[in-house]
Amino acid sequence: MAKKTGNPLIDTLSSLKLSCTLLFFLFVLTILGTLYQVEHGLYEAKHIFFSSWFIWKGGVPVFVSGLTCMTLLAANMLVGGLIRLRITERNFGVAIIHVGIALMLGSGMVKVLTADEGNLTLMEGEQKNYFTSLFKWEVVVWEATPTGPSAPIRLSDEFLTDLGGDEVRTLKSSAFPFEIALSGFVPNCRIEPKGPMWQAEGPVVDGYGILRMGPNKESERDIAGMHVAVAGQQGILWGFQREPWSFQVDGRTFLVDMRHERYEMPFTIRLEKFMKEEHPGMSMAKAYRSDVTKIDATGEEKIRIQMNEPLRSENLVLFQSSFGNQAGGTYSVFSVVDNVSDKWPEYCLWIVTLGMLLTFGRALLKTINKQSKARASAAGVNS
Amino acid sequence: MKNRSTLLRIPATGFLLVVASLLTLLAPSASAQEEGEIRRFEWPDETVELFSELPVQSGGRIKPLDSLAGLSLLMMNGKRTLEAGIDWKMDENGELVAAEKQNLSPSAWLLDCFFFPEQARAYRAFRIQDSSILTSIGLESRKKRDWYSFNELLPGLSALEKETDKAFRVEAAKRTPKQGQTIKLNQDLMNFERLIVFMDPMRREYSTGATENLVGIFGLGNTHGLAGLLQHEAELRNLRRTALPDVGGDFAAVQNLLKELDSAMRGTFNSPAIVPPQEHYSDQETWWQIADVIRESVTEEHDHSDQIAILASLEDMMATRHDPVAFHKNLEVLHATLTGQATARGEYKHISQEVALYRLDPFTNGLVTFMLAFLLMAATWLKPNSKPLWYGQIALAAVGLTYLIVGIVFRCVIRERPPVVTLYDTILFITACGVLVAFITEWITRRRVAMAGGVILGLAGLFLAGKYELKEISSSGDTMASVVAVLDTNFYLAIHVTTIAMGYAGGLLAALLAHAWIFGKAFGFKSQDRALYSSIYKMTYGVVCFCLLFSIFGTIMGGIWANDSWGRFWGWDPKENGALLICLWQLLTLHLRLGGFIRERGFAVMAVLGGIVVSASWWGVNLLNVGLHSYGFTSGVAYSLLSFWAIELGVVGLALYGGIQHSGSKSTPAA
Repeated sequence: MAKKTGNPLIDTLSSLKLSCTLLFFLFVLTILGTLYQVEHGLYEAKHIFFSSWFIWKGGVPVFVSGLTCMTLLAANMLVGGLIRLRITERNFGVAIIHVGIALMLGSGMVKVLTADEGNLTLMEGEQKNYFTSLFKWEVVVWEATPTGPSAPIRLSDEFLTDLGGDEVRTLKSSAFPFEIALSGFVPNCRIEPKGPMWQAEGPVVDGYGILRMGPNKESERDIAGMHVAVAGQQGILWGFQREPWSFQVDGRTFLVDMRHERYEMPFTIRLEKFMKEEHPGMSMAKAYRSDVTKIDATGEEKIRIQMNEPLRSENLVLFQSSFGNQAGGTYSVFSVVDNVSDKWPEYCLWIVTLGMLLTFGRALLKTINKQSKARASAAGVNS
Repeated sequence: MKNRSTLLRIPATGFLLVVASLLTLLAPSASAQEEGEIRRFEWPDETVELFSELPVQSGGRIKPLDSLAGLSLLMMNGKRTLEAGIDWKMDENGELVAAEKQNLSPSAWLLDCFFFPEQARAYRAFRIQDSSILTSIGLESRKKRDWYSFNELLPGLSALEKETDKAFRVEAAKRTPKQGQTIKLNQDLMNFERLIVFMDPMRREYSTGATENLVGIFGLGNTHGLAGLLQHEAELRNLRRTALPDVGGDFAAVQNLLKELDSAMRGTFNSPAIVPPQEHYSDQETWWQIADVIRESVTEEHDHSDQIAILASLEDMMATRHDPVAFHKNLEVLHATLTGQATARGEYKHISQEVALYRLDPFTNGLVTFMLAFLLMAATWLKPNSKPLWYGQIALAAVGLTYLIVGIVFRCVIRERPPVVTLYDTILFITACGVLVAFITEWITRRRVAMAGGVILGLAGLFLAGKYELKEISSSGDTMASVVAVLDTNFYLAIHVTTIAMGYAGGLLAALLAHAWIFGKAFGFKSQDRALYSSIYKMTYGVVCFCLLFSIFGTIMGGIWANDSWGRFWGWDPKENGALLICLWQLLTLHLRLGGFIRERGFAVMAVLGGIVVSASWWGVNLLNVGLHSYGFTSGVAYSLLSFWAIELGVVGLALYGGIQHSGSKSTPAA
């Protein structure tokens, strides 16, 4: 065990008491988060128990959440396992384990802070150079010109979700001769003709209002909505609307749309063919695969994406996720993750395994030797 | 292969309705139960053996008929063998009764289902766990739990379907045990119906003598058997195409013939697929049922003589079913034809291995062996210095472990997969690993404690496997079922799933060793032998380290797999969380020990609680029915799991009480 340094911060941060407390807290949080998702869905459970700093109730933090525990645990391991611990032959393996686990927690942190995740849905023959978030929303504004749509101006999720209640955010751009006022963001809602039996969120527009709904268990099913006002014209934006909201200013036509946030990819993907293979005589899928063409500045490349064999390129990973049929034919759905720390857990695995083999292997050999010697000496005494 | 259309384009009806009408035809009647429909001899062993090796496609894979029979029987009867009888006669009530009791093997039972269905319907093969099911479908019951024949259940069939519909309307997790058993009984009856109608097309005669044209094609005689008819497949196809209403009598005769074929086809949909498909078809992997052969021969311009040859052999077997010698010869022809075709397709290679696996029955034998080892172990407690008892215990445990490993290896070879694919596999593999680790621990420590733990683990594991096998078959129809797309990777199955299972094995063995410490202390067993308890403590510590090593490796490897298949390393899915809980608990245990916060007793308590955490991860999270690991969901084990946790918490309580007593006695001054 490490000796005290005299610095209370380092001593506390590196103490085994803190390690045990944090491990126990994480254990409890994991149980609570697991049970919570049965009724409330994974997204909510993740948000409350794992990816927040605190668990909040009525605006007050009632307990530490996963992010706090994991951050402190990483610090505890680094300080206790590397800085305070005097590394010897005996505990070299332990130090390696701590490095591996700390790196893994670090990779998780990097993902939480920097990664973008979403879906890419393609019909056979269709191509796209972007993927869309499952949870995040954006508002886009563009002009319809005779030569086609202008470059859109985007307002991303982080500027929308805090617009609850009466708060208004104004969007200005030198490209547009007006200001857009956005307000009353509702994470899950329906747009309904206003009747006497329900209270609309915000103003009623052309007889329609925003009907707030409770969150879905699967958060990707939530459809957000909000109010928009431009040059004296009022409108409602909804994530599931078929056509963008349009208005005219100075004889020019502009459009505003609310949709899942889009992330551009450094290449384009075209779906050539989707195949589903079933077990013989059953309707159970044996394999899903998509033959795609990856198109970038260097040319075209034919690639097959299938279960357990994703496409990895430039921090982006595309996975075969789902498929379906609609009028136009078969479509394939890919999960897409843009994550710089994608491969880090794999490196951690080998580091941690090496550390554990050194630690436990050494202990095992020591035990076997000790037992052998004890038996030999006992045999000597008996003879 | 194209969709299953009818030959005459008659609107499709539900399978059960078709079978119900067919069964009306087959319903017990004086003629059906005449001497001719009853088997008067015992199936010769060589006939049963040959029959058991016939290949069939079921549940997405090629398996021997013996397996199909065994799984079906296990599902409906609760056992792989059936107590039936020989020398069947009609009693004064017109019911079939056996003069002498006899145990039927799965293949012998299936032979009866195929060739003597009237007799098979009189076998009491359906286990009813709760007699109130019978009451609710208007049938008389004998006792709370009993076995019933198909004939006895037949009057309640329509009521059973209504009850099943009602049960299906209830969400699976909220169904009562009775509703679950109602659904199961309905499923068992449907499976049985599929088997007993299998040979129906070969028992029929088809009208071919109505017009001169038909006699010219099929030869003299008013009727023909199925194979004889299909051997003229080209002419049949031509007739179907060209016989028009204005061509006189042929039209009505051909329509009638096609109607008869159609009726035969409809009755056998979903019966075993025993015919390898024709090579011209795009779907080469899906084997054909008899209905497929009829339809394809009548509608598709290909040569189906290989498939019709199989039907001809079956027909010959049907015709000679009362003559064991002639029947066996025809079976040999069928066996040669089928195995030849399956071998040519590379699909026969594991059939004999699977037959051998079920004949060896390694897991039942292993259970018996561990039981004997347990008895010897108990005897060594009475006579601790007896070397024969000790070596006998080791030898029996080694034999039990060998049975277990042989069974697991067989299953790996047959499926061409790593050892752990399904929940049932996890029980076998975890048991084997646990016993093996116990052997190694015993070899290192020589305290006879680890060996005892290994024997108890082997016994408990194989008992659990036997119980769970039935549940797995009820849900997926097989214990070697096909896997969902995401699991179709031998690399990750081999690395992630096996290491996780080894972690589970370590956690459970550590808990078991901790029990030895707690019980020993509580009941004063060699209480002055400090070295013994110190040794148990060290063993437990070593096995906890083993558990942690494999749990951490397996958990991170699982994350890497998830990263390749679902696009994220960690998603806080219940199954992932379960694995994490084991890692966190074992880390906590080791850190508490390292910091001196717990000593021997505390470590034992933590190890027992670790066993609870392992069971929660192994079984508990599967009961939640949420998350991406849907292929591992299960039900009906909650009560057993909660009981296990309650018992284990009792053990923890015992340890803590002992601790309080101990500290109390230390602090009490000597008198």
